[in-house]
Amino acid sequence: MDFLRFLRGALGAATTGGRTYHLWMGVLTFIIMVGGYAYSVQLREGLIVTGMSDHVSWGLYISNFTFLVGLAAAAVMLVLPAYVLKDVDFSRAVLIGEGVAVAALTMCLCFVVVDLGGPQNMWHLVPVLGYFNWPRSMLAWDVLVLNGYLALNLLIPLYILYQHYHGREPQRRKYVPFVYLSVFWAVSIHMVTAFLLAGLPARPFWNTGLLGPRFLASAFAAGPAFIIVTLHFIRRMTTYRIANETLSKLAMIATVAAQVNLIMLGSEIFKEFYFPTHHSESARYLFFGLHEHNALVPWIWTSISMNVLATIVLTLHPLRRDQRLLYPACLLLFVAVWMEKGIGLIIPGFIPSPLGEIVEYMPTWVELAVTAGIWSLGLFVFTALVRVALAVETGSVRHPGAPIMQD
Amino acid sequence: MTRKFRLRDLFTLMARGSEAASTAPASASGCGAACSCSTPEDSGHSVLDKTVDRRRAMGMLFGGAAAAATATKSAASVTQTEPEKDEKLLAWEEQLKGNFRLMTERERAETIDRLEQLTLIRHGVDVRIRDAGAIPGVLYGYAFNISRCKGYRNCVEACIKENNLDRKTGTQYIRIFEMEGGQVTFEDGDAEYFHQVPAEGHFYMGTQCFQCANPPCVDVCPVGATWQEPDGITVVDYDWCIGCRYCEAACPYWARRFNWSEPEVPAEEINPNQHYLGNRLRPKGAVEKCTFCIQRSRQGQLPACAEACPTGARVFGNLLDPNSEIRYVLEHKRVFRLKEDLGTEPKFWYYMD
Amino acid sequence: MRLGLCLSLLPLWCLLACTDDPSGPPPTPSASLETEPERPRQLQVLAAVDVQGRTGPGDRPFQASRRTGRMGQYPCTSCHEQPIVELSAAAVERRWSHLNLRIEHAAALRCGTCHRYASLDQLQLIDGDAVDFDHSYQVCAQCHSPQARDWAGGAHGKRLGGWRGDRVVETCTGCHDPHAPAFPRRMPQLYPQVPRTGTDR
Repeated sequence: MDFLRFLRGALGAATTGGRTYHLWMGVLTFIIMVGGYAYSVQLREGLIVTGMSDHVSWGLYISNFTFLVGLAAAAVMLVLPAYVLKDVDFSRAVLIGEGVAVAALTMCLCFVVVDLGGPQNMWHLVPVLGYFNWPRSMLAWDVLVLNGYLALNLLIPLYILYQHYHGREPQRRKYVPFVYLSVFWAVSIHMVTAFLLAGLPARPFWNTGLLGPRFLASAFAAGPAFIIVTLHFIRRMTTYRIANETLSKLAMIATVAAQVNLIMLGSEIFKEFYFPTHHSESARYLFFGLHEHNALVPWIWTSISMNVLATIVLTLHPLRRDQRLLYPACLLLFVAVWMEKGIGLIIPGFIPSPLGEIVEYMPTWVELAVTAGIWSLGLFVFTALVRVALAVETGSVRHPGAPIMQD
Repeated sequence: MTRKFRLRDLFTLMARGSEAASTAPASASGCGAACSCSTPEDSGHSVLDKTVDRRRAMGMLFGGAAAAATATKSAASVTQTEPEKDEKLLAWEEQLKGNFRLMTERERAETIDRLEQLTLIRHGVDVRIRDAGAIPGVLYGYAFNISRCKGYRNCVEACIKENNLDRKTGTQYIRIFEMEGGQVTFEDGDAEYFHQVPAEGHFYMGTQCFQCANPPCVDVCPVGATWQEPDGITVVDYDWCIGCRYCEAACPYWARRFNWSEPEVPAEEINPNQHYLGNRLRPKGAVEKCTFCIQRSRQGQLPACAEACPTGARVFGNLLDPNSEIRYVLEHKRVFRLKEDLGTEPKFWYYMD
Repeated sequence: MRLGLCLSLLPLWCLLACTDDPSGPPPTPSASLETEPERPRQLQVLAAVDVQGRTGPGDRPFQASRRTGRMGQYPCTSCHEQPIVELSAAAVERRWSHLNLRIEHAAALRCGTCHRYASLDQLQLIDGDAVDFDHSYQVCAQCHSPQARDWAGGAHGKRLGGWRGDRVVETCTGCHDPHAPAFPRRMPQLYPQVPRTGTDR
């Protein structure tokens, strides 16, 4: 009964707000509906309305999926110090981080579903009803770890918020084991997603041992960067206090990860171009174009430039500490990583085809609309979650019998 | 012979424990009445019965009693009612059926019956769908003579007609590459040539599914919708496929095709001689591939491409038969396979005169 | 002309002959190779002869398609009642009959290298032995011995009917025009569509 009341309070918190809040949610809802319409077109006509083909058989959907898995994994960067080390700075931001994880995972699952040719057959994945090809298929592993991670990231904050709702201190022995689990789990979701691609000898562009570590590094750069930008907005829009110390620690994480990411990128580029082989054709296509096909060349160089610029800003202490530079740098880093992984990783893996044919890929309006819709859905979920979390944390939603919590 | 260690083998080993029961009936699918595999079948059936019950329960859950009741009804009585309603009912029952590999003989007969009826309703064509299993003692192999192929593409044409390939998006399983002399690099080959052939100084290499003995596409499927049959043909259960296209990404030979839209074959061109795992009409959103014309090869015929080749560049036969033509080629000619370094062990060899 | 027509219709005829009759009972899939001596049904319409004088490895008996049933002007003696004499190369060039023949074989060959002037319903080997038209492969094998060996083994030529049961292959002249044996240059059968998606491609 109490739990129902808690849910009702949460719903109330998520649906009330100022004009800006309603406008924001309204715009998101509109984009979601446009995406929904586009998806209905795709359902009716088939995936032919996308820009994908038998040559480039994965496109914008799976690209975004790969990127968002990283974003979800990055939440762990906050979880561990906050819950285990009792680091005060982080515990304020950790709920935001977990909100990011839940929203990112929601988007991941949506992107996978819209990419399916037969979504009506999805029940075939259910282990007992259908046939779950685990442990042989890396995709089966991915289904497993993503859903598990989603459950963990829903349950841990739910427990903590619910305790706070009652004005109680959460019991460490009840949630810390799960926190430890989620830390390993977060690394595994990104590694499994990397293995999904790296395990394909057919695609030499992905078939590299560095793919997993690179995924982690870029995720731990983009994730905290995104959280920093979000915290900045929360500070401006709400009364929730977030210490400068939290931001600077987050920025430190993003900086180190961005540096490692650049080193790995350099290492990959060296390997591909010092002595280019047949296996370097995809990289040649991505960075320089192949036989007058060069759709991705401007994207990847823009991404690398932004990446380098953001990393330089973050690396130099005086620049990073200047908040007028920190936020743009974080945004730049986030977008750069999205471009690097979203556009520069999945699509060139298919070009040229295993038989050397070059067919380029250009997303259609349906793909763009569905993608925008799913991103809006993610932001919608994220905003609602953060709103609820903040309402509970600041005490505006609490159990009538709960004692007043001191901050 | 030493075996390479592969992590996948470990996974397979892990899976075997949980799956032992369900794979047993699959291997027994082909043999008729009397065979020696009664013990695994017995142990398998209890598992299968369970899955059947579960599925029927699900039918009740979602479709109400009507759908579940028609599952037991005979096919004849269904056809006598209104066709449109029939189509919906049939389609619904099709939606709830299981993986072909795990079906009992009876379930297979039922789904084939439904599919034949659906084809009649939707396309007005009376087709015959077989589910013939692998012939014991047969492992199919293919050889392609690159000094004989002239690039005429008669094989491609025959393949399209035989396998009911989608005419709308122009699905083709076979791809013939025009290669410049002095090298075997597909990057420099041209598959979209359209001029008088054979062109001076060029040779031609056909590609299709090579039916790898160690297929990367099979392991990656998250729902087990694709597998290798005992005669070495890798098949797809089109109705079980969820359309994730992971197998398309995993194939090093670009052999798999996806149905991006509802496939279209003019009714008068539909080949009515079909196989469940072969050339039956595919649904939208499923992956398909060359099956060495399973509907033909399991009847003793040559695949359509081999039969259509005007220059005799295509040799097909049983690798286990020492007197077969394919064995002659392997033993007396110098052969090579594509991307041997990947260890996929294709059962498709190229050779020269 | 009729010979040419026959040759051009041949692939079509093969195709027709080999399409399966859907009304017939399917072979039982459980039968093993050993228990299926029956030649595939569609082969019964193919006229074939046992190949004689094989020299290929394995030395397994096999059959080759008949030649005589597919030759439009056979038997030759229906016109050529009398044996003919050797023609000079210039005379071949100026010939008034058999205008449909395009002669592009080795330059050293004369009509009489293969055709038996003494009895035109037969061919002959270089040593003068007569060869029936149905065994014309023996004539070809004199020069093209590597191809003949591969043909006997299965690496050259074209199997007919199916991959199971008795081996029946196309005879040399089933695919090659004996007077111009190289395959002709022509346009490919169809354009190789790349299955692309979207309407704007």
